[in-house]
Amino acid sequence: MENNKHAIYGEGLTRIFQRGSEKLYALRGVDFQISPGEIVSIVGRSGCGKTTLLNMVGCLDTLSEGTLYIGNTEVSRLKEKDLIKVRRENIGFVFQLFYLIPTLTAYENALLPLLFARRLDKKEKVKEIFQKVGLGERLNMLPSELDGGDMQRIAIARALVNEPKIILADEPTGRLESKSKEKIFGLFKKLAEDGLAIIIATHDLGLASRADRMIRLKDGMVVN
Amino acid sequence: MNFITLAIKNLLRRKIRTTLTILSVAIAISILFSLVAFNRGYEKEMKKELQYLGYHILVVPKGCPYEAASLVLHGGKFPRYLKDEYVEEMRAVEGVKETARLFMDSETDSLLKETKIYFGIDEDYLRFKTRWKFKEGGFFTDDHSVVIGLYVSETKKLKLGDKTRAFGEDFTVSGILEQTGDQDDGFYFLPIKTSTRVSGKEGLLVAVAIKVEDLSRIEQIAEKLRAAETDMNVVSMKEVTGAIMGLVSSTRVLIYAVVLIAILISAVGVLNTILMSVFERTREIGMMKAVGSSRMDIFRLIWYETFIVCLTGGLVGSFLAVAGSSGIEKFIKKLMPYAPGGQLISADLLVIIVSVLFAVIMGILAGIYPAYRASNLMPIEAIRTE
Ligand SMILES: Nc1ncnc2c1ncn2[C@@H]1O[C@H](COP(=O)(O)OP(=O)(O)O)[C@@H](O)[C@H]1O
Ligand SMILES: [Mg+2]
Repeated sequence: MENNKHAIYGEGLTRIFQRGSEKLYALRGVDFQISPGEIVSIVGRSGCGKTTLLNMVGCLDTLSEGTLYIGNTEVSRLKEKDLIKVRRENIGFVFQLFYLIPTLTAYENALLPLLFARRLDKKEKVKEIFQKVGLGERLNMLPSELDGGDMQRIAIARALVNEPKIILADEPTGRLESKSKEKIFGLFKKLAEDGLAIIIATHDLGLASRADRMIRLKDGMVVN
Repeated sequence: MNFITLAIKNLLRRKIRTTLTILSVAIAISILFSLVAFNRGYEKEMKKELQYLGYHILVVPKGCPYEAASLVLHGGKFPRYLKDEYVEEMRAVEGVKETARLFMDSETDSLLKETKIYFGIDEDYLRFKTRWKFKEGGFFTDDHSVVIGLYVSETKKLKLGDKTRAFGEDFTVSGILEQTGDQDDGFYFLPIKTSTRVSGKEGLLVAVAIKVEDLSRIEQIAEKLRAAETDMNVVSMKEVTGAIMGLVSSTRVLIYAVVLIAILISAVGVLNTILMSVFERTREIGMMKAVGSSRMDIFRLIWYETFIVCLTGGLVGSFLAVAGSSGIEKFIKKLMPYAPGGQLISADLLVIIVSVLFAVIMGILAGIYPAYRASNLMPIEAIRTE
């Protein structure tokens, strides 16, 4: 099959965890697609499989069953080395707890993916990205000197430096107060206008309903 | 930014812990450093000292020959003696070039708690001590003369012509030796006849020093001397050197075992600390994998951290050892069965290289397991929020 239209195309996505002798279906046959420029929110109670779905489409974990395309690449049977490559070229992650390294400056934190991709030659671009995410000149500040909203901006800058086509954000506003929340969501909107596909897993129904599309999960399955 | 600066910045997050770990490596390495440096200095000094002795064979009374040999080198009271008339027999042995009678006694001043060592010698001895130079005066002028080492002259404030008491009689300083750098600096030399008389051992000797004509025949000559008399021990200096070195090397094995244990303990400490820091950073490592690091990248990062800790520890340890070498030297000298006089800890470039190399190897080995564990962390495990 060819996938020319979707940034991600997944069919029958299933992830089974073994809990002792029991099989736990974290995802049970989920069909999922997203196109460039689209924002999709994933909602549902804690434990319904949101994070698992992001991990699957982010190639951090391997499917138990199902077919998954990232762009034109069929990833469900790729080896780890190739998965890393797919990830580097296509996907940027944003986490609820930011995961910034406290002894690195904002700028250095954002550089990490370039270090791992052996592309430090592109580091000039980071300044542009800082402008875009609204950090301006705050390149040399330590994360501890910034508020939660700005920390998440650093994390978003870090997700953008490899020029991904997809942003996966797991509860990106879970730790932010409402003003910062608004701004971060606004930033995602802006990134989508630039053509990125954005998936946001969240508890926050108010925020989720402002996405282009909302997917509701329950016990690892899509409900409508 | 590169992997090394990233590793350094990671280590800076826990400054106290990192400092303590570096210190533990530094201590182990400074012990190693001191011992390697000591060993080199020791062997060098031993060889030098035995060379300066000037004699090839030492004849001592029956008993433990090495104990006697060590007493001659060190000074002290002898339990047994040789008869003076043996010297003529020894002179007659073919191949013997020179002989010198030696007597030795000591006197302890119970008030000052110090022991003076008296060496009884005659002119013959000067032909063995060719390196001796008189700073002032010269050899004995009468039977109540005394020649003193430079150290004695300085500490006892004895000048040429001064009188000093030994065994209840007065002796006049007839000569002061220039510094020899060995035990002679701390000895009093008396005319042998007077010395044996005041000690109540007339006609007795503690040792006879012998020079041979042909060094390559030293063992045959020693054999002939052994055949001549039965109640004496004939020790060639080759044997003494060998025996002392043997003693040293058995002590060395013990010391190295201790060092090895110290290094092992500190290596396990490093491993444990790094492993702990890996587990603390589980999620962060997951993040790094999510943003594109490979297993190898994570392995390398953690490995560098261990390596940097050990390398820094090695450098700090070497520095500490150099800074504290005089104290350490005193301490080790107390532990050794026989210690020559000169500077024992000789810290040359090779010693520094060996110590730092050890630290580096330790870092490489201690880093493997934590780095392996870190590289195998699953990115999803790392990122789970519950
Ligand atoms: N690595 C794992 N091992 C075992 N069970 C897991 C693992 N990851 C997730 N699960 C389980 O899968 C289900 C879905 O989890 P998750 O995707 O984290 O839900 P959400 O992000 O919506 O809260 C939960 O029951 C969770 O306990
Ligand atoms: Mg979750």
